[in-house]
Amino acid sequence: MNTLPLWLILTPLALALIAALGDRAGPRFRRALAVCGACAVAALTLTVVWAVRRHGALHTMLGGWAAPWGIGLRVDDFNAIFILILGVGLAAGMVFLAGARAFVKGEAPLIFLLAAAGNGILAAADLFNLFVFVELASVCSAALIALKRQRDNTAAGFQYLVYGALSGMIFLVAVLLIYGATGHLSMAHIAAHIHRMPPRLYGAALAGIIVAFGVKIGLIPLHFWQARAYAAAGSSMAALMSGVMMKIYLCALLRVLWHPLAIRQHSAALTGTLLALGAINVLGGHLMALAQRDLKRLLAFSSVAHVGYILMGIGAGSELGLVAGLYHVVNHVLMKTALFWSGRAFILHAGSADERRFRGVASAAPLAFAIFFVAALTIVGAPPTGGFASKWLIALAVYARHGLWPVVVIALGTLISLTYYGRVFRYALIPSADNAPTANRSVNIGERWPPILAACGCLATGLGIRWLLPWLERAAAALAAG
Amino acid sequence: MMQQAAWIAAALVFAMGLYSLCTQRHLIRLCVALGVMETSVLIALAALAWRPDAQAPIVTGADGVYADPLPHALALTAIVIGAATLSLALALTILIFRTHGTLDIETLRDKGREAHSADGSMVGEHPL
Repeated sequence: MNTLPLWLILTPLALALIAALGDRAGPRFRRALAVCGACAVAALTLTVVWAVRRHGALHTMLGGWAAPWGIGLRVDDFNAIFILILGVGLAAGMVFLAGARAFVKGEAPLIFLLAAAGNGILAAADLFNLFVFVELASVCSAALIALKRQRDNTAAGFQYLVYGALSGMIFLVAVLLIYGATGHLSMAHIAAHIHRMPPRLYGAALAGIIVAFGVKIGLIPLHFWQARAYAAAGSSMAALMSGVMMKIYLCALLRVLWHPLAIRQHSAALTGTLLALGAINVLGGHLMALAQRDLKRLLAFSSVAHVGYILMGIGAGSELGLVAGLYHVVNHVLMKTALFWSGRAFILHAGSADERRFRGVASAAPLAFAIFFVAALTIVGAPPTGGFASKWLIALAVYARHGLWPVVVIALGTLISLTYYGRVFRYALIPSADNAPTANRSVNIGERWPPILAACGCLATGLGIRWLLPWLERAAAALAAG
Repeated sequence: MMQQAAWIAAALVFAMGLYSLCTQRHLIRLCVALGVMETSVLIALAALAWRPDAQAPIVTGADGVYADPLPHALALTAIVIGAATLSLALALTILIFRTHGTLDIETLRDKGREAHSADGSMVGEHPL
């Protein structure tokens, strides 16, 4: 038994309490506490990932009770990737937030609480704890969206909360069906008894789980809270929600589908369904992004589309497809955070999130423009970047199993995204009409480096594919093995 | 028989909650609808634990059938989570009333649209 996975949850939880007390202190203390805490969580995360790499999967049995009765936590090669994404994303996001603006009261504690919930979702080895952590995460996210209390925040937070509660209830009903049929909540034990479940009940539970997590990851038509929530939460939080939290729900969905529900053994048609859902998301997400003028909403719909790419890779139903999907997950974390963070500089310079007011931002904020350019190249899928490699692998995987139509969908999606990112560039590159002195905002160190690192990461995942792929292959094998 | 009645009751209550969640326009009514749906899940959990002629799952040493204690534990946790969610929803409702002066989602959506078009961006989404 190893207690490391438990600390992944306890540390951010304790930090949330400390940060809540620290909220009474001055802004500098708050900031230092938040950054140091997030870095501590990131260091712990690296330790865990390292331990998994060296010793294989880590199991924790809380209170010393083994699985059918006790509560278990488990970190293997598959969820280690997502734990790494969460830990590093949290630290980078906190540094950026601390550099970009003052923390709103309650913001740092809620972010730590969200991180604790995220680690819980990733490490939980039984369905009920998964449910508890998903609910905790959705309450924290709703509070974070509503926190700034500006124009649309409270309404967007309420909307997210209602959808979160609804998705939580649907998930609980699915868990209840599974428990009723198999008599177990632990994922490993359910997997051993799932064949006893009558097909119709199985179908209902499967549909419930896909719908419940579909709300969280933004499956069309369950995506519509997303654009509003991201626009309200602000660029720095939206980067974390779209870049990091969405991947955590995706990881949970995949673990539940693969392991307790064993969709691979059950039917190949089910992975085909994932492929179809992914294709709808790719086309729908890109088309809706095309219709947006507000940069944050545009990026939100682009997230919807990219969940589609990931699902298409996974829905290919082959090992290669799964690896390609995971590869796209890693790329999407880097490119979406880079886009949201550098887009924030555009919005600040233009005084509006409307892309038509972006005249002159390229010369006013050249660094942010360069980062946005690199990240946009990645997200569209230009050759030297990771985005190209992962899309290419996804296309290869779906072509091998399902023929030409998914490849056409990917190509169409790429064309559409090229159109709308090109449009943003066109506005940004127009020199500002009036020679109004563009107040050169000083960019401090915390605000400067996380986007640069994310943009470098976009290039690195493409150039370093040789080192990244074996790692992802091991993760895919761990998911398949359960 | 008992159990089936409870299942049917749970399904009915769930449907009622879902129906009002989809049709009501007032935010507090939406909160009530969420609470109602939460309750239906609790009924279903209780139904799941039911065994014919079973006692409460407190081991006294006497022989006999016990009800399944696990769904009871789940129900307790679900109650706590439901309370937390509902209290946050109500707190947000108060904030929305303070900032927007209305709790009607149609009006809120129109206000959101106005704010968006004042910004020059495309129209907003459906608020709920």
